[in-house]
Amino acid sequence: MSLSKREQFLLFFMGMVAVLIFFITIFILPMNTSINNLKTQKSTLQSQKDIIDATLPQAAVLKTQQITKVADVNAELAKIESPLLASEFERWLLPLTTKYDMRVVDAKFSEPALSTPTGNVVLVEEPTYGLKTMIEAYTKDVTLPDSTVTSKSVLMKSNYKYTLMTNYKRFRGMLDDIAAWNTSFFVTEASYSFATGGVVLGIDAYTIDKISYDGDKLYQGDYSATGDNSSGGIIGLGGSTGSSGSTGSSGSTGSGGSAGVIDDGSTIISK
Amino acid sequence: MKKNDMNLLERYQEIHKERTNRFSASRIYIVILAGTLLILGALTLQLWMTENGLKSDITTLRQYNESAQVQTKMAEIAVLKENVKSLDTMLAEIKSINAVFDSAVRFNSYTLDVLYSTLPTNVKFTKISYSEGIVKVELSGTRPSDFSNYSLRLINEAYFKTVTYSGYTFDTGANLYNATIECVMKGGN
Repeated sequence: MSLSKREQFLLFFMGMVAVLIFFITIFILPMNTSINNLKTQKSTLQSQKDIIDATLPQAAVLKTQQITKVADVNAELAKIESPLLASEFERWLLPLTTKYDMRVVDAKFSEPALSTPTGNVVLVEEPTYGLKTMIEAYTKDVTLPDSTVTSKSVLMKSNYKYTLMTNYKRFRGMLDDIAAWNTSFFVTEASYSFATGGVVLGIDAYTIDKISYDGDKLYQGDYSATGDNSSGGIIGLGGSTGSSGSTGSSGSTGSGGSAGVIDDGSTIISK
Repeated sequence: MKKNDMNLLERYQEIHKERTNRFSASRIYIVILAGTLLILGALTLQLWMTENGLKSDITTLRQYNESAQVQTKMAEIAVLKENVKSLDTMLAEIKSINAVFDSAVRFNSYTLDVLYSTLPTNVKFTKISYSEGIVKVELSGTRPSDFSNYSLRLINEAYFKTVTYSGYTFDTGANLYNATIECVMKGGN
C-alpha cells in the first residue's frame, strides 16, 4: 500500500503530536510539578536552616541575658519581703516593744490577701471654675492635677494592728525603728493619745514570692518579749524635736549575721 | 561510422531521482521525529537531574535541620528566650510595685518633729493620729488665735500637701479651746 504525500505528512504530524503529548504528560509536566514542589520544600528548609544558623549563636547571649535579668529581678524582689506568717512578723515588732518597754494591750492580725500596692497617697483635687481656668490660661500658670504612681500588679498584703501603752518619746522612737526596716512594711495607721499614753499602730506588710530565697530571713528560736510601760509615764514629750533615729536603727533588715534586733539573738537571722 | 548521440535527459533524470530519494519526505519526517525525540529526551534528562539534585539538597537540609544536636540546642534557646521574656515581664511588674512603694507616704518621727517644732508654746497636743496618708492633730490652747497660728506655721513649713483647719470650740469646764487640724502628707520621691 502506498501513501500519498499528504497522508504521509498527516501521519508524521500525528506521530509528532503523539510523541509530544507522551513526553509532556508522562515526563515533563510531572517532573516540572515535582521540581516546583521540591523547590518550595527546599526554600522552606533553607529558611529554617537560615533561622537555625542565625539562632544558634544567640545561645550564649541569651544565657548571659538570663543571668543578668535574674539578678535584676532578684534585686527588685529583695526590696519586698518574702511571704511571712503573723508569728514571723512578731519577730520584727515585739523586739521594738521590748526595747521601748511598751505594754502590748491588744494585737490583731489579718490573713494575707491579694492586693494591689498602694502608697497611701491622698490625691488633692483643686477646685476649678471658669474664671480660674481663664486666669490660669492668661497667666500661663496652669495647676496640674495631683497624681501618684500606681501599679496593677498584685501581691500579698497582711495587716498587723497593735494597741500599746507607752510615752510619746518612745512612740516616736518606735516609728523611726520601723522606718529603718526599709522594707515593704508600711505604717498605715498610728495614733498617740497624750491623755492616756495609748498607741494604736497598724502596719500593712506587703509580701511576694521570690525566684531564689538567698538573703531571706529565717525565723527561729524562741523570743521572750517583755515590756510593761513601767518606766514610761505618759507624756514624755521632751526630746522629740531631736533628729530622727535617736533610738538607733534596729538593723533587723541588715544582711548577713544575726539581725540583732535587741541584741538577744533568736529573732530574725539572715540566711 | 555511426554517430552516438549523448542522452543528457537520462543522466539528468538519474541525478534527479537520486536527489529525490535522498530528500524524500519520509526521510525528512524520520529525521525531524528523531531530532524531536532527542531534544525531548535531553529535556527530560535535564529535568530528572534537577529533580534529583533538589532531592539531594532537601535530604541534606532536612538532616541538618532535624539533627538531634540542632534540635536540642534550638529547644534550649527557645526555653532561654521564653525565660528572658518572662523575666522581662516580671521585672516590669516588680518595678511598678517598687515605684509605688518609693512614692508611698512614710509616717515616721520626722512628721512628728515637724508637727512639734511648729507648735506654739501655749498649744498642747491632745492626740496625734495618722491613717492612710492623713495626719489628724487634736489640740488644746488658751487663745482662739492659737490654732490659726499653728495652721499657718504648718502651711509655711510646706511639709504637708494640704493643711485643713476647720474651726475650734471652747470647753468651759477646762477653760480651753479645742481644735483639730488635718494634714495630707506628701508621698516620697
